[in-house]
Amino acid sequence: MDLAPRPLGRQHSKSQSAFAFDNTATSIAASTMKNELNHLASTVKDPLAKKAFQKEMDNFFSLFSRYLQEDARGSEINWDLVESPKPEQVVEYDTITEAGGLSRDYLNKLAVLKLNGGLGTTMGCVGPKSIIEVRDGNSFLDLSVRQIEHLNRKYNVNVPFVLMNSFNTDEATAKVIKKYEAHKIDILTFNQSRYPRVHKETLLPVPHTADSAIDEWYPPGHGDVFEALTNSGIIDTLIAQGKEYLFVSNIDNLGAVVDLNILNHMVETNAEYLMELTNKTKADVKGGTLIDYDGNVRLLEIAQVPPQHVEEFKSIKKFKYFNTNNLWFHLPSVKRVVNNHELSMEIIPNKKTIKHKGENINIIQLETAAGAAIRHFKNAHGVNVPRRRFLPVKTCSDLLLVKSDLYSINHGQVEMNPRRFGGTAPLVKLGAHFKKVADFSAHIPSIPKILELDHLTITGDVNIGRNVTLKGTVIIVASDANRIDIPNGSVLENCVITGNLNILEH
Amino acid sequence: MLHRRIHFKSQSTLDFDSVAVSISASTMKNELDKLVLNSRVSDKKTFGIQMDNFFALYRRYLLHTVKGYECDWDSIRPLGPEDMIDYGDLPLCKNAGKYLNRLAVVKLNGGMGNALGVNYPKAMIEVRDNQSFLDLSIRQIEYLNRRYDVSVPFILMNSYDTNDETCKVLRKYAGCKIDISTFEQSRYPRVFVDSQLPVPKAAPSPIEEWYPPGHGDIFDALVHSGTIERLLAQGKDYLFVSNIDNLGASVDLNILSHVIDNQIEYSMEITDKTKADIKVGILVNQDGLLRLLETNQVPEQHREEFMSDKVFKYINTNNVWLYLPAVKRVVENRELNLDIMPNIETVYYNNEPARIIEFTTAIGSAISQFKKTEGIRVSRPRFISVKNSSDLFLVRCDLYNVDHGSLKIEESRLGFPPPVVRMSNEFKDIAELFCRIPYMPSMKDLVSLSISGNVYFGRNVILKGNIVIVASENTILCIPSNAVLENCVVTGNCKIMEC
Repeated sequence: MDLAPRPLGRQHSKSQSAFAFDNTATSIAASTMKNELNHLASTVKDPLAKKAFQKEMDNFFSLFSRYLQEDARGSEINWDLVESPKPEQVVEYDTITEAGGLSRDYLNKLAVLKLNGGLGTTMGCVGPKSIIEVRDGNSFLDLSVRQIEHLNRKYNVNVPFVLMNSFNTDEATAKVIKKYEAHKIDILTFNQSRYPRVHKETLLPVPHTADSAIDEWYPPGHGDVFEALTNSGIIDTLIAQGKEYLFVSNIDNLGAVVDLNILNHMVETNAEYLMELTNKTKADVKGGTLIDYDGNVRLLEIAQVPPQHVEEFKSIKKFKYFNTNNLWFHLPSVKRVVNNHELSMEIIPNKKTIKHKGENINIIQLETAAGAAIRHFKNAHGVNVPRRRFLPVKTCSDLLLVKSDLYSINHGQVEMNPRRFGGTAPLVKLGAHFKKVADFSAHIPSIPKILELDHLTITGDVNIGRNVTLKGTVIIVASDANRIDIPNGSVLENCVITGNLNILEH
Repeated sequence: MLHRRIHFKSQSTLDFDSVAVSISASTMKNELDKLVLNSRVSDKKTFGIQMDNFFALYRRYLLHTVKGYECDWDSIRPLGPEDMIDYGDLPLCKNAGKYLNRLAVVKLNGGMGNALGVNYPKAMIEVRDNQSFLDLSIRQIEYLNRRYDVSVPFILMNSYDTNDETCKVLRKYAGCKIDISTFEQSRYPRVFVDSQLPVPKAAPSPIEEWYPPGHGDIFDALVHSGTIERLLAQGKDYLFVSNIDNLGASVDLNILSHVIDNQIEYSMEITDKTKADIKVGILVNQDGLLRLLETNQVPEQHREEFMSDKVFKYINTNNVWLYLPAVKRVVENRELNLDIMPNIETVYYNNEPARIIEFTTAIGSAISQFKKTEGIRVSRPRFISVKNSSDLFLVRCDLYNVDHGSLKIEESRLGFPPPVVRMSNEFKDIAELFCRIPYMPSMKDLVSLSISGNVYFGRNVILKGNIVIVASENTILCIPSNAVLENCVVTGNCKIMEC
């Protein structure tokens, strides 16, 4: 096959005896894991569930085996083969054309998928991240549904809205989507895989039965979308409905709306896979980027870069773009690639310590990213899109931005205020007191006006009153035991506020 | 004449005191005669008269110390309906020009602005919109003169502290439709407490050896300066006197026509006491006569009753309307026996501390010396007094507007008392006040404001309800621009550095 996986770069130099030993160790670890997984499968009673579970464990085993091999051989990329992408490998958004009269035809071939496997734990929430309120009483999920609903009404089409849940989010999401039953939208859900966590020292799976505690399992990252779509049968459902194209994006990227220009471009170029990239800024230097690797387009993540080349990788001049994780797939091609076992995405080992049965244990999670699949598809390339298509909300600093007068919402779509000079978002850094959404809301119950803000830093126990306006560069530092209450109505412009200011209403 | 009851003293004690009084009086008389004899002042005669008046004051002081200074509380009672009239009951003035042609206006301009941290006459302090107390007063009279086609004289009673600078400033009004003149109040010698001898040895001598004897001196000064004769010759037989720092004391036609029609010799404007009016003179009835009573004249055990706003309800605004022929009569007949207010303080001569005493009198205490007298109960807008930086802060803000030199209360604020403003020492000097509060906050909805410590305000601050702002010790507290503070306590230390 043309797209058969190639060796991953030059092998590191190793003594023959060391290599031979690793081979033996690898074999032993692999067969031990295989036995353990078989044992896990044997604990599933229902034949249908057992079959599905075995399929999942087979996929996990493939991943694990690849991990062992890469670990033994060394997987670092050969930097000499890395080049900036060619113009045809990353197309400028301005150069792609509108579908015109064909919009409706193309929309009828489209489905939209939001990656909804994540919890809001990094923002201090217990449920799915997608149900965090973003603005005006609307959550991420509400806004996404609203967008598709509007699209369906406007073009009189029926674009399905698909949610890929994880075992962490599926139950809560199922409850929430009931409220959309009366809406003009077809909502489908499926779960990504559930993989066993692995002990770092023994390389054995943490769970002993298929129905063991949830903290013994993990969702393997959004690279799992391809297999999950296939295994769940969603891909067949969509293809049967005549849906050939899938637009995939993060649920927390508020800029990721259906774009007719990109859809048209995909259809007309017969691309099987498109990745949206946008220009790097200083804040984005660690993001994954597209490269030309030995003549082929590939996604490169910072973790894959040899240490001595990390600074070069971060350079905005050489690698101008980063991956937004807005991806467009040709569904029949996805089906082909999965069924032919051609997927071989880079493995991201996520090593961490968790509390398990009252004790700390070191575990590994093997994850993959959907963007890494680009090299397995024909005519795959990137599109350099405007920044407005990448509006992620990862922190409460981001949440402040999207809640403010910098943006407005139109049919579920977040748009920047045209009065914003320069069209770029200010840099906002909120300290530890604002990490959780509940704390953020308590400290900033009313969102300040930031249309003319360039930079905001808030550190410490700071409370923002009502009708506050921030302009230029504003730095507010409440150190140690101090508290700063910014009075209602304040206008802060190019200033540094320090000390202690308490306002007690009576 | 009032015959006050003598406090009980043993006969032998009284006899001894009488002898002491005689000796002190004789000694003072001798010293004053020497001063006059050796004086090189341009107007020896006037100086001689002043020293005679001072001696009369001193002798009365000696008698007071023997008899006791406190009033006979049993003869004191609050004002009755026959003692006062409500402004609202006054008939409206008709034919304003007729009355105005009989009026002259005096502003008491003897004070320096030391209490507000400036070393020039208080009248020169800018009040608002780049206008000083003096500018506003002149503007009022000029407007009156234009509007009614009259020529009301505007007169300033200066002290030796304020006379020179005031005369310089008056040049800028040369083109105004107003007749401005000045006269000086007396200059009295300070007296050493221990020796009971006058501080100055010659006249002239350094200014710190003398003092201005308070606005009760206006009667003598009007007569001896010749001002009263000039006014009477011009047909001006009524005088409206007020403090230069009372921004509400403008000529009121209804009061003017009332005092003229009823031949009132002395009319005192009084207003309702509020909780903020502590230690201010109260108009009372004593044995059927009106009398101004100060807190320190009240026996200790009755002070609480005196300060209560339920029994003694009206305070003196020091807005006084006088019938000039009666003033002339009372002065020439030596009938004035104003209450003496001794003021003891420590001053330094040749770097040596010395305890000195000053004898001052108040114009209000003259009311009991006139025949037909009354109190007129006026509303608070006629008493907008600026004694400290808090008061100045208030009159600059959006609670008031200036209309032809008169301060008018903002319409939305009519019927409500002015906010109570208290500021700590950091705001005492007006230079400091306006450095810390460079832009006036909006105070239309303010009830009370307390500011304590090293506090600074940004622009366009809005204050509503009851506000307390306290900067932590040894630190700065900045209030951000456009802040809206409503019914809250603001504390801490907070710097805002512009960058």
